[in-house]
Amino acid sequence: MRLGAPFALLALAGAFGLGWYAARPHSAAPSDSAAFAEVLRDPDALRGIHHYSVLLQSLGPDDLPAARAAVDQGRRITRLETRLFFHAWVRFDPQAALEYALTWWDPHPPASMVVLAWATKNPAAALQALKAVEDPVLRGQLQNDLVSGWVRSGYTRGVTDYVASLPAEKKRREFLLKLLAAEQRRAGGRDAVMAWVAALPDDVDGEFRRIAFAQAALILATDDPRAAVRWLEPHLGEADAAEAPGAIAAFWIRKDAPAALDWIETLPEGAVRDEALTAALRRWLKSQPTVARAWIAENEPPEDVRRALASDMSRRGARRPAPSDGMDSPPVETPAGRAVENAP
Amino acid sequence: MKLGRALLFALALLAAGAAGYLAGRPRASAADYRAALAETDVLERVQRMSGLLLSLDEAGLPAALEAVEERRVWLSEQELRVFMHAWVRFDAEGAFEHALGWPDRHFRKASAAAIYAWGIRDPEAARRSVESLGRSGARERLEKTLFEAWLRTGDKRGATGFVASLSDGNERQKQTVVLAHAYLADGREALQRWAESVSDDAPGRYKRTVFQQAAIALAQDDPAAAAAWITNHLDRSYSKGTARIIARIWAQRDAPAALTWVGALSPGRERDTALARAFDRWLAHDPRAAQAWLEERQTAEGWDAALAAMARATAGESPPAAIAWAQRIRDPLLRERSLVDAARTWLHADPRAAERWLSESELSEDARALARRAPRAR
Repeated sequence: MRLGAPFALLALAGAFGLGWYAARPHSAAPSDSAAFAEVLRDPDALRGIHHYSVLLQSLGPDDLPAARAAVDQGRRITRLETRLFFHAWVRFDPQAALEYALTWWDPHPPASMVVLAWATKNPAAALQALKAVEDPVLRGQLQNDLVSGWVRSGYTRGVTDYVASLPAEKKRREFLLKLLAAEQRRAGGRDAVMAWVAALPDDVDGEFRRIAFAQAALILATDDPRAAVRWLEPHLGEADAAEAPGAIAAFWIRKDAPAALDWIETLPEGAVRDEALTAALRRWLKSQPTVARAWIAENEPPEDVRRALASDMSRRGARRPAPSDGMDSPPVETPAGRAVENAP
Repeated sequence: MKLGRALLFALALLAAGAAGYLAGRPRASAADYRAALAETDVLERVQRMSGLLLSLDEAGLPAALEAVEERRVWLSEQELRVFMHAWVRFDAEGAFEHALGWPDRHFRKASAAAIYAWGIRDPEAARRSVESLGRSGARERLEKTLFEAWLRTGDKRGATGFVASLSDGNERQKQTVVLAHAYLADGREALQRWAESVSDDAPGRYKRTVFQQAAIALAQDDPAAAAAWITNHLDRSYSKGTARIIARIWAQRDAPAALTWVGALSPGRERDTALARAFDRWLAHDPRAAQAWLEERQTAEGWDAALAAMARATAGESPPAAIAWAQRIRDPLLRERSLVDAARTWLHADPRAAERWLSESELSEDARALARRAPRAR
């Protein structure tokens, strides 16, 4: 009986301990060569992805063949699983990872993952590797990943010069500079975007500077349109800032049309205001055509603005009907949104 | 008395175990999730986040959601899936509804992530939820994601039923291609059984779509096997177009074998089209061999479509040769049409010679007028 009480207490403590242990997450992943295939088949998807990421943390040349077999051209796995695999491979042999990615029937997705991971680790080496990609279309696509990774690497020196050195049409430059601005925002917040624009290289052409300014304004506006406006105001009238009001206005009108229109009204009368209003109304007509048309009918914008919009309409003409208001309207252009699809 | 005490002790043990379980359950704070999401290395981030989420429950949801929503802009749909996998474990419907309410366009990636996670766990329930939405582009995107999840579960039969129920269009066709390759990965017989198992009256002539995609997948893998399989179905409406698909793909690899197979099919439009497609393909990559093969058979019956293809192919280079090939066609209508086509080309290249031939030709006055009416520019 004297032994009974301590025994009972011990048993109760043991039961408590067992319960405690059972409740802890047990994340040890299998580690033999079939492990990759096994975790990818786990019916519990969360546990599967967790074990998969644990396995990949220690991926090395020895277990690479097993991992590669499981990944198998990405046919049976998700984009994230493919991406994690290439990311892990790039850690120890990026060149081989890129060469393997280029053998896929569609090399763009895996090569994009490799270049992003590689540039994040070593932008100079990734840049060299990209030069060796033969297909010019693919090389052009991978430049986006190089730019993203370059900013994320923290060694941002030279990235703007690199974008400026690319032979590009205006649309392409807009895309790359939007990406660059979004990555700056992601890496260092709004201050980094402003600092980036302030430090644009002296030898870039006027169009490049105007686009960079406008894309920075857009990225700042996606966070907070009023903060973007405060940043822009001292620059109004400068040649570099010519397209920035339009970029802010076109974004803001979808978030808060009255506020955006009020701000446009405060801009200096003339070309700057007209261009901002045109950009805003263009976007508004796409996202909420009924409301936008009603506003135009009621407010009679300046002749130049109406002419620009009419010319848009006639160009689009019978090509396609205007989208209806509501759920399926075109997305707000947030370059950040596009950039995150390739988040490291 | 002893039994009562033992029972009491057992209950106490159970209670201690349960208390231990509750005490041992880790509950991550919003700060833990924030720290995991702030990780810049994607592999680290996914590992840390998924590790925290393994113990997510209803009580811990607000903290996780708070951290995820703070990073909403930066999270891709793929990474949101990790979070949704955890949420749908205890409230799939709530996760989906909440995701649909995300602001701006972010609802798209959030709802897609939720429907993927739900689809992995319970595709039928996820399907009912998607079907309750009105027809829209957003719904179509969710259907596409749900299909991806369904296939990932390994339930290809269920996925087929789902795809069959979608409206006939590009997306349905693309998903059928994916299904065909998924079945082919299990073996040719699995692919054939799948195609045959689709109901004849599936909506939007779905069986025909399935047969066409199965024929393509199978022919790319083993054209002879594809031909042997489809031959047993050629009299059925759902197999329309499959003979020419197989013939074309087979001709790329082994044109004589493809043409021998087509030659043995029952006469009719399906056979003629298959013959023309296969022969066109052969002419494109080995015209000499194709010509030699046809010369051996020009007196035999049943090769009119190949002769017409040969006439078409030679007309640009040598209209008289094209006319010679066309004249060997046995079917009078096809012969006349081929001669008119060759004469048109000739009239454009060398009007005097062509006119001389035309005036002496066997063609009717109407056919000659037709040839003269619109000289074909080459």
